Amino acid sequence: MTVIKVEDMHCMKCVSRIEKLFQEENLKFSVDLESKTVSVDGDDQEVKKALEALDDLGFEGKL
Amino acid sequence: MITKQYEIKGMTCAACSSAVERVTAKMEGVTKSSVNLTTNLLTITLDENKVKDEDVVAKVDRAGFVATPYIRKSKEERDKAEENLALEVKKTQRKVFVNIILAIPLLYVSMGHMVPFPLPLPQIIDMHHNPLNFALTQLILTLVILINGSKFYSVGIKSLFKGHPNMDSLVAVGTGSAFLYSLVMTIGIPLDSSKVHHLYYESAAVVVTLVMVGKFLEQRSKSKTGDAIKKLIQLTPDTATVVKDGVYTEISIAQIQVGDTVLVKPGERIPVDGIIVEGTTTVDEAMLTGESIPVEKEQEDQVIGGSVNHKGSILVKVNRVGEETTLSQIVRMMEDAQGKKAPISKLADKVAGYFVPGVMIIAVIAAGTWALLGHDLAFCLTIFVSVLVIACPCALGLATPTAIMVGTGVGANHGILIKSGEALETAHHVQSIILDKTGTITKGQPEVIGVLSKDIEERQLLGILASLEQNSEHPLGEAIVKKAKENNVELGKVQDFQSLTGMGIKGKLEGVPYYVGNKKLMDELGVEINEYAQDGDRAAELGQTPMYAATKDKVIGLVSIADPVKPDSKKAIRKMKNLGIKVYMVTGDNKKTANAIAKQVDVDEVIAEVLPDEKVNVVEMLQKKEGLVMMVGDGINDAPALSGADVGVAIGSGSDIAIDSADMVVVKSSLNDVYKGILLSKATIRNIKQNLFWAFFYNTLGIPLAAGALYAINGTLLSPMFAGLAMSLSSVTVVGNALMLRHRALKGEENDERKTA
Repeated sequence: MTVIKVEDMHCMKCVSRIEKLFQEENLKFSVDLESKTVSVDGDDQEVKKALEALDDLGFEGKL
Repeated sequence: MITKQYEIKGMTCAACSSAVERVTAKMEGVTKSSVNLTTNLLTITLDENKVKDEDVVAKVDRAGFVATPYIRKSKEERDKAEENLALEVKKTQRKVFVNIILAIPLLYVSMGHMVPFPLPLPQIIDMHHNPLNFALTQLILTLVILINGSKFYSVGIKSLFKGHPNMDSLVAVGTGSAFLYSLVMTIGIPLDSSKVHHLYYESAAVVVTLVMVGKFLEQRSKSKTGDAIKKLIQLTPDTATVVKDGVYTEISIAQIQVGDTVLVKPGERIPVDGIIVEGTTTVDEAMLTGESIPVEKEQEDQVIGGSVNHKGSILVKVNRVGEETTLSQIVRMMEDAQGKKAPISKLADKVAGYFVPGVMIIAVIAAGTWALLGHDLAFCLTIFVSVLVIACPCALGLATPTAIMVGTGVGANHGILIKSGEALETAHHVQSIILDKTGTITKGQPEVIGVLSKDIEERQLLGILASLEQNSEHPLGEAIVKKAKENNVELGKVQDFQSLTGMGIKGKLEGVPYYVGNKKLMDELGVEINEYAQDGDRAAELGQTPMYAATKDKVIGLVSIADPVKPDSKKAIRKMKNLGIKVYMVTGDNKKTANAIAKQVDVDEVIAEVLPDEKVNVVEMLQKKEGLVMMVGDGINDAPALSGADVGVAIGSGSDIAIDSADMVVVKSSLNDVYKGILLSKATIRNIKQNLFWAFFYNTLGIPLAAGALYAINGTLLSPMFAGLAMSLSSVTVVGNALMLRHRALKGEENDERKTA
């Protein structure tokens, strides 16, 4: 499990945007607004995919 | 490189807008990208060869938002469109004028001999001496008139062949058959001069002319509403005086930027939205609020572009320019509202779609029946033409748009901005209204309700309280300081000020320590509040917040603070209830305060202790329980509920987001205007129904007459010309009736206001 810090996650809208795209990308994940993190369950390949998806969403994900 | 705009849907916070900015800025070929959260617009500079609309839309879609290319007409384009419309109106006016001028001699020639005292006619075109000339004169006059009205034929026949005949089709078929029949008769005159009695040129010509008059009136009223928007735009001056490093320069409004400081002299219109940085004045904001009494403005106050600066010179720091100013947004709202088609007008079109072919069938059947009964072709044709012409539901097309146009116009004059025809329509049959408490029913600003002291003078107590509270930033403290200033109470200097979280404050005034705070603070101090306990409890029961003032060992006074109910709230709520609407109050406040306010204004039900994001659930619950729900609120937290409700009404100086989410905006912050909005909606719908009635009334009444019902009884036949007249009458009635709405819609309401004033 890899935890990605997403500083710009502010509201429920942000969370739902992440959830929607991650589901489309078939990722196993959980989003926590409180700690502004996204946890991804998977190998490096999937983490990379998650980071790219975050980029497409306009977020900067930090490992 | 070009600059484009896209409307973005689904953004809720600053993170959203920066996300959209970031993903679009990263695209290849994009050099600049910025998002305005309030207007929901993405402005982007891009290389149009590399980036297509679809690319931007797809990119934004992947980020979880919806983008649509936004084409906003520039001022020049808008001016041009208006100019074109004005030109069009002028052109129609000229044609109508020419036709009327031609129709008069035509009527003289063709009908002059039919009146009881035959009018003289030169022998050369007399029907008895020179029947051919008589016919040709009419042919030429009619031809010009028909050419002037050729639009009916091109549009009408085209749509007839496409299978969805409209009103133009009726006119085209009706007058076309009359004209062609007369033409055939004219050709036959040299052989048989009796054919001269079967000319219907004047019918065709007069019908076309009258219908054109109707169309002209319609066009003109359309360009009139364009004028309203134009007037709004013209409210802002073209230039403004910008102050920079002590230098005053007059520049064009378009060049002003956010952050500039602008000088506004007395009597001038304020050019843009901004905040006063220097000077005090009064401002007439009537164009925005409908409130004719000027509003006092001082430093830090927001002023709005287009309003008139009355008394003093002010320096204004610009905070909104261009399309973002309040005025531009009002203009945009009005344009949007006029562009949207109300469902009821769709109904009118649908009805017309059945009505037109139906009438054509009736015309054919009627003419056919008379033919079978042995009447000649001329008679049957007259029947056919008459039925077609009288049934033409021209007025049907006027019924809804005129009423909605007048309705939104009346609203705007009263500070009620209606964003869509749909909202105007839905508002008339809402079954329940949810009113937000703070800022909607109440003023939204705490005020001192009462000051009480049994030991010292009340003024003195206020002085002590305010002196201490001027150091506090608590809204309750601000209310006390405001009250003291209003009463010209002098404030003293406080030493050793300390804020006691959750309880109150303490500080020394001329060496004497004082405490101001709630019951808990007094308990903590160990002083008895017995003398004041009763009054304090009563204040709390009324939904007020009691605050005690004490020295080290004694309570010296009590002040009660509350967010007071707006003066007209109670009356407005009573009026809403009289309309049979159930009135709810929703608030995040505790039950005690909520019930106290509810009791004062007498709402049907109270829903208290609602968390901000739960308001929309309340709306949904009531929609299930009561049907159509109107929500009235002003805050950002009301926004979801406003969009969720069937009709969302943003009140007064509501936040931009609330205003964006609402269907209706009441500028004056008064609940009575919400009530007026409902009345206006009711009046508009009633007007539309009346219009539809009048549109059909003459037509339906005329059809049997035109079909020859009277002929069967006593031998009179409705001439196609009178059919045309009847038809125009219905258009005139409809337009006239819609215009009456202007005077009628809120008439009783204004009288009512005068009475109470």
